Amino acid sequence: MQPSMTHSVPRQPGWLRAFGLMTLVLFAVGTVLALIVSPPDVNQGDLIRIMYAHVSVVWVGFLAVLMAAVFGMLYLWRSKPVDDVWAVASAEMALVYFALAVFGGMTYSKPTLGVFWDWDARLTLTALAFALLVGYFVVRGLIDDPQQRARVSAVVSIIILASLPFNWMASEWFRSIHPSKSFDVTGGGINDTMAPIFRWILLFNVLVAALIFVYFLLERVRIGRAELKLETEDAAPAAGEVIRV
Amino acid sequence: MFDSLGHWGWVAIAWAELLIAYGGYLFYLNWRSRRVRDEDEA
Repeated sequence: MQPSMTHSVPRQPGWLRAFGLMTLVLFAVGTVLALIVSPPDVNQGDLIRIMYAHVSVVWVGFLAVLMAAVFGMLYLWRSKPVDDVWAVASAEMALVYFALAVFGGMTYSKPTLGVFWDWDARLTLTALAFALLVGYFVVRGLIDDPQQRARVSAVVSIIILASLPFNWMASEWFRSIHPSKSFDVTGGGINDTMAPIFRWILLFNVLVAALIFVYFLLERVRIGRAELKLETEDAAPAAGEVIRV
Repeated sequence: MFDSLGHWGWVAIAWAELLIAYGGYLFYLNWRSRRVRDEDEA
């Protein structure tokens, strides 16, 4: 009998471990496709290989913000602590992917456009979203009451989500050093000016980044649920209160 | 400082950023998991 198992993070289920290993293998395949199989671009040469990493993390970063805001809204609606666990796990991933988007974008921009950074609409909105994500965690660190912390951070995540449509369209609406989208499935049709081999390698790497996001999210939620259980049971042991998580 | 960097140098930096971020987050998850276990045992 192991009494500590009632609180501790339970063992990682076999299917999640298998899923993690599968994403690792797919990441290796995506890297080989991007670095070896992909031909150089006629304009960018080998720098096109940065595009596979950069675009995939940006798209998944948007997905992570969307999920943080959706779970934030769910928390505001029904006040279930587990929704906050999902929201904060998604927000952590959004922070990671937006950091990659900003620094990867600079790494792509310098050799292709000659500058690391320019305060145009697209880049400024991305920096703003990144700063708001940092703010999300600063706010969480400043509020002790779990319910108030979850409510305030849910509102912050909704504000970040509200900025994303402007970010997505910024390079079409405003003058920008950031190139327009060569592959876009929004707006009711497919705008595809990309050669098929580049497109398929990009889509494969987007899928891999999304699977990595899902794996990290599930793992983070698993740990978060154990933390929540520990917090709630420690908070009200004498009253014998049962708090469903 | 970066003027002497060739295309493959930039490509290596961009992909290394991914590896560092993913590896770092895995490390963070492991630390967080161990912290819960330690708190539980305390």
